[in-house]
Amino acid sequence: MKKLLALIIVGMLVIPLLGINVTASTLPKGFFKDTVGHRYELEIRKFAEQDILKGFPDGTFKPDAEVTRAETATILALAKKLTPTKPAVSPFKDVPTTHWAYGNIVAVRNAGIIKGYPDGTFRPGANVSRAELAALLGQIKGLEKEAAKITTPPIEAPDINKVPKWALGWVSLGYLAEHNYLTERHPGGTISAGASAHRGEVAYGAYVAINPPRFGGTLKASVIGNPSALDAMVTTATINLYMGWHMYETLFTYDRLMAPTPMLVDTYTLSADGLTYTFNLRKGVKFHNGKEMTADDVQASIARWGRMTTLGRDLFRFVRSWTAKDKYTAVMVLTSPVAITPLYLCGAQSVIYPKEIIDVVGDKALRMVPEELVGTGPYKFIEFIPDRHVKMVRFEEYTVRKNIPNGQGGRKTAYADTILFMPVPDSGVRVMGAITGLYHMAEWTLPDEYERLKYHTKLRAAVIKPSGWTTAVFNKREGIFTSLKMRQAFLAALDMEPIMKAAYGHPDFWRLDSSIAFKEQAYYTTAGSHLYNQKNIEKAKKLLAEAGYKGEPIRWITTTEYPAYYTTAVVSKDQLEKAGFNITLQVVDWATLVRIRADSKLWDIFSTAFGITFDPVLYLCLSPAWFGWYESPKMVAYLDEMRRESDFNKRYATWEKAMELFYEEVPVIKYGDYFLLHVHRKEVQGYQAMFNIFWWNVWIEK
Amino acid sequence: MREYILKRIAALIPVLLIVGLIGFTLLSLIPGDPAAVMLGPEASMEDIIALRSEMGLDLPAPVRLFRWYVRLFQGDLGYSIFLYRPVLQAIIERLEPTMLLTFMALIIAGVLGITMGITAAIKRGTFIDQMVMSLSLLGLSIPSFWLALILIVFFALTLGLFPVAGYSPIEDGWWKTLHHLTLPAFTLGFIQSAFIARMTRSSMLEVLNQDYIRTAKAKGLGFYKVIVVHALRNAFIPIVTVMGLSLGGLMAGAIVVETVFALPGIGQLVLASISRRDYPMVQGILLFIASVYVLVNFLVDVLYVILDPRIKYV
Repeated sequence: MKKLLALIIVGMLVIPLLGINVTASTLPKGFFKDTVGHRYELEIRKFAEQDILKGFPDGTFKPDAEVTRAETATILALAKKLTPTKPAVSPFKDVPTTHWAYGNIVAVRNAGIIKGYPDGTFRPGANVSRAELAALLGQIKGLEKEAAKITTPPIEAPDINKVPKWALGWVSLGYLAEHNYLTERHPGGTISAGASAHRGEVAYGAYVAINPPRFGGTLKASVIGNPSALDAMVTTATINLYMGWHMYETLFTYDRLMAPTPMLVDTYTLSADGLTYTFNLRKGVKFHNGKEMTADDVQASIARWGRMTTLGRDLFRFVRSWTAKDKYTAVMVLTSPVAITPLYLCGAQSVIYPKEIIDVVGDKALRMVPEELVGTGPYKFIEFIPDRHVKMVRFEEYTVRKNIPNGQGGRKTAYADTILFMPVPDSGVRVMGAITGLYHMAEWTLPDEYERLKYHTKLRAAVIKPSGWTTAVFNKREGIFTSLKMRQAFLAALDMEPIMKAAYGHPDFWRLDSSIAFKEQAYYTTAGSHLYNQKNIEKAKKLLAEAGYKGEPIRWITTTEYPAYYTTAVVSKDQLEKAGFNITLQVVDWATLVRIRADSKLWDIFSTAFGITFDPVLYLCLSPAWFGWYESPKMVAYLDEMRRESDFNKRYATWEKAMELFYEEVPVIKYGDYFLLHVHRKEVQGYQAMFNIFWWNVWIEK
Repeated sequence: MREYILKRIAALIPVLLIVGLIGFTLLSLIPGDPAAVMLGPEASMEDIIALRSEMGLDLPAPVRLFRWYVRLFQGDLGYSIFLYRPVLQAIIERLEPTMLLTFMALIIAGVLGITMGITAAIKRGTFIDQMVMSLSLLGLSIPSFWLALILIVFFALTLGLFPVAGYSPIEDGWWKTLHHLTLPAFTLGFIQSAFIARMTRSSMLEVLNQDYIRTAKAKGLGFYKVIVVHALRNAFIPIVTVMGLSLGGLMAGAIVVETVFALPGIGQLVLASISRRDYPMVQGILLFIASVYVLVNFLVDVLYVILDPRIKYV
């Protein structure tokens, strides 16, 4: 009897768990080995589910391979649901009736989509240029008349002049919000009309041509918590800035590869001495309150940013004057060249508010009311109800840029009528909510669910690469780690792999790398890497002896609020104690950690992590002003050199020296890179899969 | 009776003052900096110091406590800098989901607990008794967040009967509100029903052995009359006491359940406020919860009189 009861109870506990631990041995329909996480994963999947696309026998799709005319004909025929026709005599000299794509090639020809060449050939093995693809997609949408009307392009792109005249109409239409069947190429965000189209691009284009973007609907994003402020200049917390960039815009913004691209600025010039920036603003840009944006607003906002934010103050150390020259021109005169001024102005905090609001509010935080949270972005703020939602709606008078979309820059289209950011503290609940359709997406999902989610037929899981790096920061102002040898000993003893593995688990979510600029960034370097991940306990012991360390207790402040911080500390402690370190972990909550780290008397090490830093000059961990107080004359000199220099190669050479120095002086420990998991529902189309998440240019199907 | 009620109400005031003092002391003892949390991980020292003085955190603790009391007597619970609204307003905004959740959970706990308790008592020593008591043991030992997740996986994810999480305010329709609250209320209610079931069982067992029950049975009264009218009525006092006490448990449980189900209630508010050191908010909620608890206990005492005419307060 007792046994039976026990069995029933155990069964009750275990059975519900079984349902979520099913892992597929073969991939579900629509998934290919090399498309999970790909930019065009969803379009490929949806076509494959309808049997329009098939991959290769090895289970791959090769989305980045160049596409042939035969493949394109097949995709278009199947997508348009044309019936394959196989006449006994081939209409093309070079397509035998036994060709694998024969029926579809003829079908496409009969439908008038691909006509073949005047010499009677079809050239099935030839590539398709992107201009040709644009024309094909335009034709299956029946846009002949619209395309013929276009003589001056309604779009802008760096290589718009290289688009052949016959394709100009098709290409232009493909980048307009209502068609959207073309995407940009990188680097540079180009049209690349002459380049061969990729298989993924054909899948994307055909899918979107047949299922055009939909305006309307409410996009529901579950997020980790409430915003603590929606005035972008008040806080650096990610969740606040993430909501903010839907409402506010900056003078420049990041393109897909993290380089600055103009946003509210139309054009700008830099004087020959590198000291005077003249920003020509876009005309006719409207704020949410209906007012036109002018240089006065820009002047007031950037001046406020220069007072209120760390980055702003950093730039304004070198600003001699910052003025509105006329209605649409703002001029910044520097005391010493700052090569990355546009990059400073990309940051999510350097947003443009109306001057009238700044005049009233000053440097106090804007209140969370629509009258004060006013920007120029594609969505405008409606309300914040704590623990329920932050609500934004499409800004109908949004002034669109003519540039093709590129990262956070270029054309921004608010397809969804409304966005709701809904705080849901539990990661598992966010995911289950996405599965059942309560939310469209789940942010900051725990990686341990990845195996289950990446092949989920209702969802799309994206690993956001890069996301950040985990670190331990030494107190270099006071206490035991003012000694260089102590810090070197610390670094020498560490074995990074077990630490990162314990902290982030699934191998797709972390990697070992010495560079504090990510592999995906231009300033990535292996300089100094010989001192990363040394696992050398003997060397550490020797350095400790030289430093005269006698087992004095070391206070390491960490928190379980971010479990990875705590785990890295615990595993490190174990390794370090083998070398003779005597470490006391002080586990506190995040609020306490940030309090303690401000007082140099109270700690020796603290745990934290850094997100993406967009230029070497901007690393907080290298700044003497930031917690830990890294006061190195050499590092200051290197960074100063880089600030003034604008030539990439010279800057890079200096950065390599700086990274060598970083590993000699060990201001902080770099453990490794980590990646975040983002999940959204399949009907959410147009997601960019880049380092920042945003919901313009994204539509909900159905 | 009226005098008694007035006396009890007057006694509330010192209780609440003491709650305020204890809450304030505890909050001052834990370290942490609301200004630094507010300003984000990359904030500079100057900004943090400036915001601290703006929030009045640079003043000594006794001064802050005194100011808090002064404002309290003016009916002002303070202002939450994180939520950009007065504390009282923030609490009132959160009242609806928490009250409904607690109320629904209490009904579920009561119905489930009393039914289980009576069943176990009647079928004492049988397989059914063991089953019911094991179930209540399960309820006592299961962590609420875990039960919540299991219920979500089964009823929301697999069967799709209820929403996974979230809340729908009454103004959007009663039915939707109930639909959203069913799983959280059941989570809370099931766990609390365990206490009630155990109390009902033992209290019923005591009564069932009484002579008047035997008499009632001998008279040939039906099952309903014997059990509900004669036995339960007399066993009810300890049950009501437990139910009143369990309201405290429900409110504590609501903190976890609201967080898991993402309900915009008091529980989630208090948790978030503690982690960001929103002192006025935590103080305000503490005071509020203490008042509710004291009031419910008071109501239970009054209920005794109705349930048992022999009890009289002078």
